[in-house]
Amino acid sequence: MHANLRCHAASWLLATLLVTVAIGAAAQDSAAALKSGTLTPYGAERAGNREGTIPAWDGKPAATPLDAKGRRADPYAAEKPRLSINAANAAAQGDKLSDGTKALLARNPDWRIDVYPSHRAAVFAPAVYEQVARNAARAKLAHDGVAVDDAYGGVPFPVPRNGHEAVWNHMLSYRGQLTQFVADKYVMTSAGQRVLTSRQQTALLYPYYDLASPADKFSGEWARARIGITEPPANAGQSLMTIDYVDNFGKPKDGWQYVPGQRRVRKSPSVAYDTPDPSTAGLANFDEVNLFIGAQDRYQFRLVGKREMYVPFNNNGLMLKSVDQAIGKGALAPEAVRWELQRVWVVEGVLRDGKRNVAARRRLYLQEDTWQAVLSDTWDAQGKLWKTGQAFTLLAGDQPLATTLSYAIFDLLAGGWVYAAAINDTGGVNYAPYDAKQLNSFSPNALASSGVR
Amino acid sequence: MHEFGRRAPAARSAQPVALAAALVAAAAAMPAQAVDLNPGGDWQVRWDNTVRLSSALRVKGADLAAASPNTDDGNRNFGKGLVSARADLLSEFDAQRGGFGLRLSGAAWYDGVYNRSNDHDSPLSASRSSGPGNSFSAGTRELAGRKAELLDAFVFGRHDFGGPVLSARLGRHSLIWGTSLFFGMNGMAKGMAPIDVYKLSLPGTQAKETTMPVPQLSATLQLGADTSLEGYLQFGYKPTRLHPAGSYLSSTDMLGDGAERMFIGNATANRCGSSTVPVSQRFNNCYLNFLGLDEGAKARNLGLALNTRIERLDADLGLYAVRYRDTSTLIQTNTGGGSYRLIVPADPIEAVGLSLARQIGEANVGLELSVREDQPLIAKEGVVTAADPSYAKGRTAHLNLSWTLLLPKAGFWEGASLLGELAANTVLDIDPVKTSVAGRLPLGTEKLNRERHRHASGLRVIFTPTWYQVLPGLDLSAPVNLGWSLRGTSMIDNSFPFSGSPDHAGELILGLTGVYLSRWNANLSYIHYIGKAATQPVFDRNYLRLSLQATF
Repeated sequence: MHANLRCHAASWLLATLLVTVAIGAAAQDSAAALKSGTLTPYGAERAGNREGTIPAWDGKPAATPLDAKGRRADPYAAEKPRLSINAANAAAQGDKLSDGTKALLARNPDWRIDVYPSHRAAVFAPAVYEQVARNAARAKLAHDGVAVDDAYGGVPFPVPRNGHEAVWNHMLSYRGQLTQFVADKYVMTSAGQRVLTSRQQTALLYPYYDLASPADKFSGEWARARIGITEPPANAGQSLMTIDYVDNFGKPKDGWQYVPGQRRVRKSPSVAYDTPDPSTAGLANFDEVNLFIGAQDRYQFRLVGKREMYVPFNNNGLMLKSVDQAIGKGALAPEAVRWELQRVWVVEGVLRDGKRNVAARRRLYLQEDTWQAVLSDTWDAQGKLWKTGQAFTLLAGDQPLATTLSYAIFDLLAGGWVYAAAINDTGGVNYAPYDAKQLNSFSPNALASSGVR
Repeated sequence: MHEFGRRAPAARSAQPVALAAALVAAAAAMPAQAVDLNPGGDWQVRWDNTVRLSSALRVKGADLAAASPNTDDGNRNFGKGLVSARADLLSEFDAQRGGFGLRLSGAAWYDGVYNRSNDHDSPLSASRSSGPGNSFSAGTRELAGRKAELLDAFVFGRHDFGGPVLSARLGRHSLIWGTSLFFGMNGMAKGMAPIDVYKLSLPGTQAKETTMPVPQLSATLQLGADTSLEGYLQFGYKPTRLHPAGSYLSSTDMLGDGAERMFIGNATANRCGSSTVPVSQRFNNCYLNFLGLDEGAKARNLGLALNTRIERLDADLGLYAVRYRDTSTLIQTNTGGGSYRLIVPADPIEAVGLSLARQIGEANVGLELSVREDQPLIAKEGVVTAADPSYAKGRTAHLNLSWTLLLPKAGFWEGASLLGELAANTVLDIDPVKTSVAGRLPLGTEKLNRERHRHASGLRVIFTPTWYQVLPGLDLSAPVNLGWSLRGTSMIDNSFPFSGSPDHAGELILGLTGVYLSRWNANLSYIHYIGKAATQPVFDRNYLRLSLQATF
């Protein structure tokens, strides 16, 4: 018995050593790959494709001057589509379309996607690249992918070796340091009505991107968010605040809500995983923000590979249109959305043993230059394709950064869809440098003290 | 304070000067849509209006077997059928710029049922003095039948000291601390704001309508990201607003707005119970007239709180100390003068408490513990009299344990929530009563009120399954709301855990709520009271309520 135990201990130690060695070697590989120049400093493939339909990345941000409302111009507004795909010609596109895109085209013969020339103007600040390079040598997964250790200030795994690392890149990708905007959420019912279900004043503070502060000072809080609701009027005055952690194993997302009329803040229950978001009329669950958000403990994520696909990208134009122009029949208006051929990482999550989620299988398509999901497909427990998501990327050459902002979730079985974080009618996005003093405004106490109603 | 988003300079022309005009225009445009009155300017100005139409139907006639003249009016006034036909308006206006601003809100309502005569069939037991027994008194008609009142009226502002941030509000507003969910009267909340118990019975009523604002100065000093110090000082007093006397759910005829008189003792044992008077007239001969509320000395309500997070427990901690005059009043009789009045207990209650809130599993769980000193108690037999104004009081301990949980799709619902709270209190110590009447003995040797319990507890659980998009644009939910008094007849509070402090009794509310296009909210509820005449004062008043509500 004792011997047995010792034996176990020894093999455990050996396994740990081997894993450590493996990780060490892999991390060195990653760092080397990043340095070699074949990859961009963010971990994308620097070269274009052989056909010349995807250009090489040249590190130059696009010019996106701000208008009077703080909205960023569409640098590609003058371009014409090079290809239009609809239900009739979708089959010829092979695997360049996701299952969800194909399903949307099939169910809506009037809908199409217009494919424009590809651009790769997703560029980030040198300070971010510096941290990405460091992350390549230091970041590692913990607790089976549920937590990430020793990552800071950039995507943690520029050369991902598995699906969990890729999903962490999506989660921790750069979306600014102090980001503020007012955004709308629309539900389109299966009968075609458009309902504004929520207008939110959103402020996001990313302690993970406090680039002036050293990595070892990082508190483990990845983001603090503060949301004030102004529409519909029945909900005006409600506000909420959340904290996300990079250790989803030890710390689930924290949340607080402000109760109008009592001027009191209550800790909120978990608004995560597959709990339906009432403000989407149940069409989207809480883990579908930005196509996927939250802990990875319910899924085993597999890196399927990298592929050239038609995805929504470089969508400043969409965000400049009014909601009336942007929303079409059964989907966003084809003329409002720019699709491009881009290289994406395909990541597939299947439920882990003993875990449950209404989405039994889900695929995320991560655009290589931003690491952010631009498409998602979700299958139900019966294996039926159930939902598909599209996320639309804002280019902010002035920062510089590129990030998905607005997104749409389509329920392919029930027919309704949601267009969320829409800034069409509300103005632009304001980016500011990280400011630790602002933490005071991103706290449950601040919710109470600034609540008017 | 952050500037959210950038606004169009083109629309910046709307100046405060134009505000009045905009208000009029907005009123004309109602109910087309909610009003952002100054969409492009530096001022953020909003005016929102909530309209609710509701009616309630009693499902069976009164069971008057155990009726007493002081508790029968609410029951006798209403036969089977319509007990409320009501329209409510809640109007809210805020204007702010750079963190400074003003808020005004008000409510108005009309209930046709209370603007006509009622079904009272026992003129002798009707607690009416100013009109016929089958009419509502002026006070009841006003509060239940037609009233407009100001709720919030305050200014607010904030100042950043380059680290600590101070924010303050001055004027009529409400403020509540702690983690209590349904049983605020058992926690710190009791001392901070009076509750509109009458409005609580209307489905769809929001916290901002049922927590009654009082004039006060409140401030928060934020010391860091997770720590703040709060304080308030109240300048005015308002008692709990009960069901008006003789309104459908009232269980005492001599309390609440519109009360006019009470009957005392029984027909043979008291001064007005002369045996020479025919039985049919005895009630007329032994009532006391209501003289109103005597607020007494103006002691200031005040409180201090410290909120912080404890990393080790991964919990939010709140520490509180408040001093307040009880919002529950006492009845003081003057049998010599043939009158009674309500008095606010003379000694302020001092309470200290702590709350802990944290996530356990997927649920938010809140625990609040508090101890009160000088809490008035219903411990003595009999009532407080003008000749002997002292009342029983003591030290009490209170516990509130609440939880909220959102559930994913399961079984036959697409989403669900489970909210609940357990509340318990106990009398730790009863102070000797300093009596001013010779011959009276300290409490303890005097007769203790054996109908009252030293320990009381109750719980409420609301399970709400939801089905989304049952029809395009329509979400349905079916809340099941169970309130149960594990042990009632509280010595501390006549309305703990529910109105009338029922014992081993409660209420079951089955509802069906439909929300159409995120705007129209319709609710049908069946309210069933569980218990017997002896344990549940409103046991025979089951009713159906239908309401339709929208905010513009």
